[in-house]
Amino acid sequence: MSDLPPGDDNRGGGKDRFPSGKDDGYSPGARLPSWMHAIKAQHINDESNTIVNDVHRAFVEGYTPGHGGQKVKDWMADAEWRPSLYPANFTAQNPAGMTSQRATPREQFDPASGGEPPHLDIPRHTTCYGRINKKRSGAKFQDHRSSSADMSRGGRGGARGGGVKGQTWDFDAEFKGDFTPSEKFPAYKVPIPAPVTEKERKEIKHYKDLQDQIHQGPLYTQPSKRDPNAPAKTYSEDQFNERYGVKSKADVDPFTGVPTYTQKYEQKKRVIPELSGRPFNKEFFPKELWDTLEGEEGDDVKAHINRIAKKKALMLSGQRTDLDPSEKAKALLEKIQNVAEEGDEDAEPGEEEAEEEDYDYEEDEDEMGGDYDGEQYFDGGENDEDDGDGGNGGDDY
Amino acid sequence: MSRSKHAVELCALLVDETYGELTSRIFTILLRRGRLPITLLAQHTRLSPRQLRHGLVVLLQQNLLFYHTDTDSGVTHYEANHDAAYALIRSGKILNIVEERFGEQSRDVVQNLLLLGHTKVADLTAAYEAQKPTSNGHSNGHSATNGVSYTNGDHVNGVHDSQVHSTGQLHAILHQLLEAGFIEPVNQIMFTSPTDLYNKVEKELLPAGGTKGIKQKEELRLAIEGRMQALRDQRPDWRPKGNNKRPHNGDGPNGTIKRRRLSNGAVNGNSQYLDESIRLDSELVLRINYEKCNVALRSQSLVSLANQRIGETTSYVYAEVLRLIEPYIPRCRIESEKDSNLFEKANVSTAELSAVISSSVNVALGIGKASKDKIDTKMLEQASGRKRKANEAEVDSDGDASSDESESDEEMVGAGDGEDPFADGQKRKPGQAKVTFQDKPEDRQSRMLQLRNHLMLLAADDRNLLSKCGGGGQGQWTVDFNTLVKHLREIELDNLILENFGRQGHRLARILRKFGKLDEKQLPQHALMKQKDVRTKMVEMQMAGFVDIQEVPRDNNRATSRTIFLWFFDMDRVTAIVLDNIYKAMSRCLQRLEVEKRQANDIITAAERSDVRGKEEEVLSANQMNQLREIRGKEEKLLAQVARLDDLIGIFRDF
Repeated sequence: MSDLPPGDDNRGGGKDRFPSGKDDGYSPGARLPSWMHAIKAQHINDESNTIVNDVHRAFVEGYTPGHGGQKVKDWMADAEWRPSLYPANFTAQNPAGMTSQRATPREQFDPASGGEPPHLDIPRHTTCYGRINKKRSGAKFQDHRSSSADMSRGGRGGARGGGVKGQTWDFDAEFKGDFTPSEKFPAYKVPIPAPVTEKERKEIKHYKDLQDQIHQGPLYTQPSKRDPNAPAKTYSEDQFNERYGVKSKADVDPFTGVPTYTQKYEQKKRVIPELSGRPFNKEFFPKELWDTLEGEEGDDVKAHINRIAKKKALMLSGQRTDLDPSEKAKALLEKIQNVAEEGDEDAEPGEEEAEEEDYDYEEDEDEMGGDYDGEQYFDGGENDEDDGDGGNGGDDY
Repeated sequence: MSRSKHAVELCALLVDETYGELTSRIFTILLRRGRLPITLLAQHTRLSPRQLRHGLVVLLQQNLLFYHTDTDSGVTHYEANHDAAYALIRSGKILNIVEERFGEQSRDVVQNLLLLGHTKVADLTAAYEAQKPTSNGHSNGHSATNGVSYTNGDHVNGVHDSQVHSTGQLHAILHQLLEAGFIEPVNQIMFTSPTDLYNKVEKELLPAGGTKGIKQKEELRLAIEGRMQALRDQRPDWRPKGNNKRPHNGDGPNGTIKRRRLSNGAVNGNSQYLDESIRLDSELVLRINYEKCNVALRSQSLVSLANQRIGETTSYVYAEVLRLIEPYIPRCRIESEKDSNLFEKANVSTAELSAVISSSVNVALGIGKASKDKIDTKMLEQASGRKRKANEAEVDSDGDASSDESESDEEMVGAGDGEDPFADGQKRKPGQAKVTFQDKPEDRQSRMLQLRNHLMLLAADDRNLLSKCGGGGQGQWTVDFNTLVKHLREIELDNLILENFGRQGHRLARILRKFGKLDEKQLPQHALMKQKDVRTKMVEMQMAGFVDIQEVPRDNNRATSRTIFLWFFDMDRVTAIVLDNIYKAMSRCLQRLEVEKRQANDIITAAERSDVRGKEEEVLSANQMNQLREIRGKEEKLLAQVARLDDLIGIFRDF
């Protein structure tokens, strides 16, 4: 049995000091290394740890412990889960070790026993165990780990804050940690805002009125999100743009897709703001938007559509066969020129046409008198977009 | 100037909420990418040029964009206007303030301006003309012939009191709003972004040889800023020519300010007095001036501070003072030299105030009076002695003023002042034995004195709600907005910290604010806390970004043991963090609102049907009605929360 330096008390492992694991025949106190006494004394003299002190003294002197109004039992129940409350060597050493150590000198100097060690062995042992049992039954004093049968190990290292409830790095075959998961939804006091004041209510009313008015107005565009339940977070521009788009027929909700009478009362969905019929102050807009403001852009396209419709009507009326390939080419050329002249410096007039035709679809349809004609199906390739690609969502019912 | 992620998100949400999807898609890309020409915008948004142009027109019409056309290449770049986008959330508050001050008709006009964006007077008039026969058909449509004001007066009490009845009235209202600064004439510069304007002015002002040294650069910067301000202030002259009837603020016997009512009394009567002969230039283009609206909002929050600290009646007096000062303050953040000169004039005398304050405010109330024997004079003398010293330190003490001061202090002693419990004895409890209230019929002189007492109370407050700046007109008063707003910020920050980190965190933060940087070892002593607790709390606050630590090594090898750790609390930094958190909270509220609305989509579309709108109660079933009420209640709660957060944004950012 080596006298370890005090600094090593927690890491050294009890097994070095009490190799047998069972102290048969030996009084633990008597076998206690001398440096341990020093620690005990030092610890017990530590004034700051009065509770520990108190418990200890009460136990030694045999009265019911009580400390400053706080029931020791309560304290111990409390301290059980907070190993940091125990000083290192107090928890490490189970009560048996502690008491017997303190008890030893008292009985050693007992005049009756005459100071003979072999003679003392039995009574000291009995007192010691009796006390231990009393103590153990009295309170759950030990660290949960020290409740194992191995007294010699004695829950060493309880004071060290480890990963799991004060566990140390020591190997311990019988260790039973507290692995119950922490509460998933711990009780949380939800802060409740103060009730809405009259002034706030008024402000909100104004805000909502205005919002409502704007939404009824011609400049508001309805949402066209494909999937309103998609996560709000997007990670790239592509993803961001993908969420929007023209509603295709595939997205029609079958439950509301069938037109009903009351749908005529519903608000028309608008995908592009209506600028016509509103005065604008041109001077505050950049020049490139002036056409848009005046609706000239729209006029151009309308004229274009009308031309197409006329042509189509012409074709329908049977002149189509007269059109020889050269004339056709000429017409096409003329058309291209027209577009180049009338349409402004747009990069993609085609796309715009498509949009625009879609926009005035119904009007267009009226003039054409039906959008499907088997005979004409493959004719005039440039007119293919006439069929309106269903882009206008709500207006199509 | 780029904004934080959350600010961008919030602005995009607000535009989406107000003007719909197309505009918000464009606006989001502009916020994220900075300035872009139309071609690039098309690339990034994947919108067709036609959609894009329409969207841009809407955004420009609502003043949400800046643009700049390059003279050489002819390419126009567009840039998002954050502040305008943010201001969308304030529209409710602005409308409320306008209604409070100028009545419902003015509110209606402002609402139309918000709806239409920048608008010509002629167009606005036309819009009202068009509206008249439909909505106002049964009333006297042609009211301009005789007794216009009389007609209006009649209708004020009727159902249609928010209607504007004649062109003359519309012009008068617009004139009034222009005078107060709530709306402003638009000019080209308002569509130029601040950076562009800066560059343009810099180009003009840059000396031929360039600048040398810091001093010259600084001079140039100041010159540019001055010029920028001048350019911004160069607004089209909106005042009708040769028609100088309008008296200056508060001077004339019939000034408009006099009739502005603080409490509910007689607001509606306003329109009776409007001068209907005013005609504004019909080519004038108008829009809402958010900067000025912020000034009004700031006044509001200051008044509520006064209400909290002193009392209701005093806060009414304070509101009146702030309103008198407002015309001199074009915007909240005073930066340039010229503005601060302008600010010098922003004071008001007691005499002016008493002439203007509404008779519905009973200034005799609010300050308690105790009989002589109930007052522990010794204590009061001590207290007032302290106060006088403090006052003299602050106040410009020309002879006149200081004599005023001491005199009034004695009055105040008689009246029971500031920190003693009498001031808290509100007028609502006249039964209290100790404190009696003056109920004498008030003559002008005593009213003035009482008013002065209120003003003294305001000036004596710890927060310096008011400060005295001269003796003319029975005392000149001014408000030091910068320190006041700083106080407001501190109060709000304290609240936040108290809520988030408890009493101890609050205590530590305040200690740090008071002492500046503090060593880790000193902190427990000052806070009377254990070292361990202090550390835990400080680390907690550090993680949230409210405090931080600075290491000062004592020698070269930077060992931990030889290093001093200084904790500090940086107000600006904390403000920035708090602002960002608030933006985030606001956008979460709005997103939540969107989700809730989507869940209740069926009932909302049902309620919005043109045959249901306005008569929901009759048409919808009880169940539907309950659902509708539920979603509206949720909406109200969420919007109220957003509005409260917006108050904080105002305090931390705008005021």
